[in-house]
Amino acid sequence: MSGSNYTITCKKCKAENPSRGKAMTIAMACPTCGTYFCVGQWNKDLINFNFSAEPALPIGSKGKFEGFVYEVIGFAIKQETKYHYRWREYLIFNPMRGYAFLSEYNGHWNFIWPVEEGHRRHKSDTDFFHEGHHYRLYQKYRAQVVYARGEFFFDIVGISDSTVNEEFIAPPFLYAVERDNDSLLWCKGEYITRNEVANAFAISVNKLPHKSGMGYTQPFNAGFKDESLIKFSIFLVFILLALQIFFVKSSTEKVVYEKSFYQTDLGDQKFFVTPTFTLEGASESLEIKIRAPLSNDWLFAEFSLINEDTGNEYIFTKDIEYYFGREGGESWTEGSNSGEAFLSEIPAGKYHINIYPEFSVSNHEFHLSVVRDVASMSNFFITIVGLAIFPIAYFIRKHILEQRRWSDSDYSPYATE
Amino acid sequence: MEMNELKGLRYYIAYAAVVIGFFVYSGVVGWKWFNPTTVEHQRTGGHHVGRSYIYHK
Repeated sequence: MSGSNYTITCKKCKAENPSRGKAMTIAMACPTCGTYFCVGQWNKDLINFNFSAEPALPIGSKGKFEGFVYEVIGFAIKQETKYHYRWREYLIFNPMRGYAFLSEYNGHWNFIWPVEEGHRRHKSDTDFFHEGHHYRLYQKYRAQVVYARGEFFFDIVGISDSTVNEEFIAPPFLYAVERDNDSLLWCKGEYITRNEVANAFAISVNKLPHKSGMGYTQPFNAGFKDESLIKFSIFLVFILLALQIFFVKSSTEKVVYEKSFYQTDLGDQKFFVTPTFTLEGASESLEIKIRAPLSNDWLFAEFSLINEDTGNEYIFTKDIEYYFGREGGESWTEGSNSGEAFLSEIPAGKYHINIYPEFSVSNHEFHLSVVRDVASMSNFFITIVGLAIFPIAYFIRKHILEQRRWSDSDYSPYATE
Repeated sequence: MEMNELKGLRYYIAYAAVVIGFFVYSGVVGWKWFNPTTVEHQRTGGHHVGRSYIYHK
């Protein structure tokens, strides 16, 4: 297509301009004077645009998409008539595949090509299903061409002025419809990244406009489907539940020592000393349960678990309190008559416990149980929460990005009244 | 689930493996992560010093 001897004469300055599109070119912006005109016998107005712009992809540059080389034939800047935002369109052509567009807005690109209307299962005026995708109306607008350069296979200015456009999206895909009183043109598009455009045209990505915000067809590409994440999360919960059931079932919960203690047995000593008991197995948990017949009272004790082989001491305290009463005809209680102290990773060996109790005025006794190898439930629930962080963060982020995607749309499903 | 999906989920799989591995280790050694009981561990090496020694006196 490049280097053709076919020329088109500018209707304003009469310059002989080489044509890339040859007989297919219907409209041209003269490279010499910038005037936009329609070729042939059409009595259309000559248009001079009020400003100039340089396309990021120069006219005549070539890019390879899916193995086919396309040449940039034309460039246009369009402006929406209501909100006045602008985007850029590049008309590209391949002799085998025909013409297509590269559309760029805020640094986000779409590759768009004309299609037959095809069979689409319409849900409503704003939704339809096609090839397994749910397309939603994103925008309905009129546009005008504010600048054009190169050649076009149709009167791009006239068509833009007379048509209403609708765009339906199912990221990364879109369907665009141009309709006027006489015609209907369907185009399909797909989001392509800035890097893919730069690679296609073998140019530095820095020559292309920088990305800003979220592209309206930009896919939320996490590398997996939502259903897969949900299924995998459920699978993890079952694994965790199976492990917890295993730990609970395999824990021996063996009572290695049990005795009741009375204040009167202390004598002039300040502490009780239990007989030696043996903890078997490897490093396992130990639970010290303390129970007292409290009645609006409390009990406090300091414990020292002493390994008789190594002399290591594990020092901890436990207090229990139980209060009850009646107020306004209703009974209330606070606290409990019993409490547990949990010790993690206690190695096997011979132990005894020194108990330093503080008795209250009315309570003078307590019961002590020492239980070896007790399973913990709290680790299970903490792990569930820890595993849930990833899918929760994913869906929150996806929701935020979807809201951002639809923030420029008049048909946002997230719009509030 | 396809291999591509598993590949996409690789970071979550790695994270889950670490978390569940931690959970299994804790279950085996009897370690409770957020233990309301504060335990002070004194390594005396067989020599009785500290609180219990004072009380022995």
